[in-house]
Amino acid sequence: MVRIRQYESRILQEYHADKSPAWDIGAGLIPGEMHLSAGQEPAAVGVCAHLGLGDAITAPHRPHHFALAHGVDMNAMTAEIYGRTTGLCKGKGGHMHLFDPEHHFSCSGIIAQGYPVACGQALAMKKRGTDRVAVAVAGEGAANQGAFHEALNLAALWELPVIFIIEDNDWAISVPRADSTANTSNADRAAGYGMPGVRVEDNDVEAVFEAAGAAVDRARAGEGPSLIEIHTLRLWGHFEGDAQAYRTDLDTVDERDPIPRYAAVLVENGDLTEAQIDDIRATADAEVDAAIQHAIASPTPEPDDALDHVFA
Amino acid sequence: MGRTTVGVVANPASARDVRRLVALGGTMTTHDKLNRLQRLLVGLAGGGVERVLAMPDRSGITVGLRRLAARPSAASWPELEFIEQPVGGTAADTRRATEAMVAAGVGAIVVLGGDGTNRIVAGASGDVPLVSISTGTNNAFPLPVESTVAGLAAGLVARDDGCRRAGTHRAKQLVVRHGSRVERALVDVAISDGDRVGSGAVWDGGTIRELYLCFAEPDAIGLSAIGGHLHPIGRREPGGLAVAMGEPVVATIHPPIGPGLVQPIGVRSIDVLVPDTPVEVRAASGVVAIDGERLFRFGSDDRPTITLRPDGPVVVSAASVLTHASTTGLLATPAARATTATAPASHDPTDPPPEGNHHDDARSARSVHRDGPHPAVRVPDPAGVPR
Amino acid sequence: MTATAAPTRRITTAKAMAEAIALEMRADPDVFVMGEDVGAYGGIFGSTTDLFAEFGADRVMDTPISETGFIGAGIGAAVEGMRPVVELMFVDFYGVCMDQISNHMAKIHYESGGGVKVPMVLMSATGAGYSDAAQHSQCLWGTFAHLPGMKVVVPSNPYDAKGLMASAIQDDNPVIYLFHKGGQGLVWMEKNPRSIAEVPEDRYTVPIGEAAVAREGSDVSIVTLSLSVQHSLDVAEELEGEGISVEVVDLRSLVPLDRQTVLDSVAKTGRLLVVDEDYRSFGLSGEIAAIVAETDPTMLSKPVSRLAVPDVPIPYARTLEYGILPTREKIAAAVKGLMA
Repeated sequence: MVRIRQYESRILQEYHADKSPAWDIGAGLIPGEMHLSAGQEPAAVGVCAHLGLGDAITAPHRPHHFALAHGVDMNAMTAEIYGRTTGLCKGKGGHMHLFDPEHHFSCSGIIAQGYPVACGQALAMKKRGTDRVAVAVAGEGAANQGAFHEALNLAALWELPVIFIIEDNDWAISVPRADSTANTSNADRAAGYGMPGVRVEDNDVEAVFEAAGAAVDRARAGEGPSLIEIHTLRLWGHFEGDAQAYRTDLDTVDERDPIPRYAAVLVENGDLTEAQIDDIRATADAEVDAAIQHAIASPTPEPDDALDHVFA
Repeated sequence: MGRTTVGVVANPASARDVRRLVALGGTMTTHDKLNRLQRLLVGLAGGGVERVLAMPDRSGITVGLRRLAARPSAASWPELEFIEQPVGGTAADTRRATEAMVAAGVGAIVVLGGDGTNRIVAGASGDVPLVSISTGTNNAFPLPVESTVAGLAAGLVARDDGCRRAGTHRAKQLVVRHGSRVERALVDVAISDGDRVGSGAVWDGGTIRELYLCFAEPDAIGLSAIGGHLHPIGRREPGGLAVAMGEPVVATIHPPIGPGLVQPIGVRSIDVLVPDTPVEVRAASGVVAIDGERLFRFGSDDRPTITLRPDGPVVVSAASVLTHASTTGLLATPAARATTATAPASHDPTDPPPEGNHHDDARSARSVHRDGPHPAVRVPDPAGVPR
Repeated sequence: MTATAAPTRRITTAKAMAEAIALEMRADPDVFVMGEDVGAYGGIFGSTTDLFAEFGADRVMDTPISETGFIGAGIGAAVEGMRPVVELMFVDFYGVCMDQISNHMAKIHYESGGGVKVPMVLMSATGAGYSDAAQHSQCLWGTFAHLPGMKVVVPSNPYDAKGLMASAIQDDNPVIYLFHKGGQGLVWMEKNPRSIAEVPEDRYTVPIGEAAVAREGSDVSIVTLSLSVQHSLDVAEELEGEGISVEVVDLRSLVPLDRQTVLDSVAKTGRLLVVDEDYRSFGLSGEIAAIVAETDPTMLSKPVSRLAVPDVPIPYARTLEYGILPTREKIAAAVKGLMA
């Protein structure tokens, strides 16, 4: 979690560092929209701890935490975010479209549309007789998309080894779920499709770990799909530059930050010392720094490269 | 206080935890909970409750209930008010809401949840009677009761008329002390292996080393079934039970320790717990789970103690309340309380105006049937009602 | 085209498609079929006839009516290296699944910088002529061809239907395979005799991206595709008796587009008629005209003539429907117009 947080914090810093003019979202070494995942680390870490190289993840527009937790190479990912030829996608995808075939990791910037794709990956895994699983990640706002419901139905009908993860960070950009969703529980919706659905409260990484472990075990054993809704926290804006004027819970955000909270638990239980936590943070900082140096030192693509890769 | 008020704690998170994945825990949907709340509110109105003080949440109960309360069909409900308090989506919400309800002087608190929810409420409810409606995964503590009937019973208890004395009793509780920490259990305290608190829920009977029980019913679900299968002890009996697991095994039982989860449990010993006598946990280290939820861990130098006490929460037996109310005529005079509770109050305009409406608040217009008996439906003396 | 001396027999376009799929399924266990009513029914327009009986429900999967869900699932399976053949029952249903088609199926390879392949066939029924009206009669191949990242093939006869399907399944790219309902040779629809033809029994391919000169001629080039090829050949035969020599170019695929065959034909005849059952504006007919104009407009002795659906939804009543479709009569008239 610390590694992810240090990464996102540094990207935040670098993203804004050279925006000139500051309002120009396309300016700077990291251009374009930027959706950072700070506060949502427990979801990624608790789930990905159960996954191996052959297991697939489809992530949404806010993908960095799941990418890093699933083992996507930080250098290649950072180079992609910087739009360099050494990037995961040679500069063609960017931060919302990270693809790492080795880790079966992909993103879609279109809300909930990674859900059906994960079903197809799981279908292939099942057809081939493997015990691999596919994990589909989306936010609570995505659960109102038709694609979400079609995917849940398909997965339940075909008993696919899929784990549907809903990251409920309370805000679909600016709209709270109660204003958009007649039934605010996605565990209920899972039940409607005949699959178990659970909700993990309080952004608790150990609880996510346990629930995800059980869901992954079920999927690997051929028991079919599960849905886990994780009540998590969007620590920052929907995208960088979001002033969050609509947000009514900003005063409680800091106290809900999962990293200091979990660090305190680990220290209290004697699992880690403050010094060890500092070491973890320093190690992460060094790795992040190296990744950013790698990205900046990498070549930018030639304009004509845009014409490549339309077809295989 | 003025108007008859009842508190309602509906846990939006109940029946949502990992036991749907590791056991066959069912899903009590938000819709199901709202349905029970609707029935409850109709029952509360029928029981003479004028105001409901409810716990707020951000998971669909508050929003759903507000929408339902605005419908014409809800016109006869008590006034519905949500406590103003921060909503964190944790057990702290339940504790804060219960404290606010007690401070507001509610006559009863209705709890929609399972054993875990009731435990949190009982920690703050003091002398206020609890009516529990099962919407949890394990529901050993709540007695089975239909929600409309629960509302009637809660209303009758809140208005008293002898219903408190006749229809409530103090439950037992287990008090767990660990350093400065004090926790209370309504059903069971389990000492298990491992060092992680994790998602909280207990599902692996093989990890349990010791078990302390307020009561042990053979037909219960959850850890208390372990005791129930060995040595039944009723809720109203004075003692409790302590069970130790592991070698040397003197008996193996197969209790349902979770929904769809029957596991062999090897038992080493059983002891009866004597009230007000602290017992020290035997295990050198482990995790303490209370009412099915893992709460904290301990080491060899700080073993918790457990004490069975008779001073648990005041709980309502709906059957006892309604029996008392029926036999003392409370259900018949004043008349027709419940008969109008499901629809907006209306009556034949040719009828004479209702009598006995002593309330001057804005809602009195739709409270007429509750507050004043209609002459046309007045029934004979209760003594004359055949039993 | 892979020449073959294998035995042939006369079969319908639908049967030829299904046969190609069967041959690929026998050769490659990663090939499977899914879609609405592709199982026991055999595809509403016969494209999966008999596959269910041979391969069973595991490899010929009936889906719920969830086009986003199952096309997305096809993409996911393809990403994992399988070769799904997915049927979208009518191309008109693209509206409920276009995100998966355009934003995912067609873009993943590019977005991933070439790292992720999507070897998938999305086949769909197109075309009008039987009063199915505005939501079940469109062609829309121009719409798919306009969006980068997917190959678009449009067979006009049984032989090509089989060979192009084999190529589509073997291709490492997403391929949209659009067959015309009126060219399937179905017993329950009026059909051109050209919808039943000699087809080799063996496995063979027709390469994607090569147009065919379906009939050679010297006076007018008709550049067309799908069912309009059959109509154009009928017209060419008819006009031969009137001394007009018509060359018919069957594009067979829009992406990639065989520009050279078009240019060679127009260079020979100097007269170009584009016949397209898709909408007229911003589509295939304009594209073909632009290719000629960009290359050498002086090769034309007459301005380009276009015969396409005149930018109206497909109407229901037969008089209305045939009023806007490129019929033989209108094709013949357009050819004569170029010769005038």
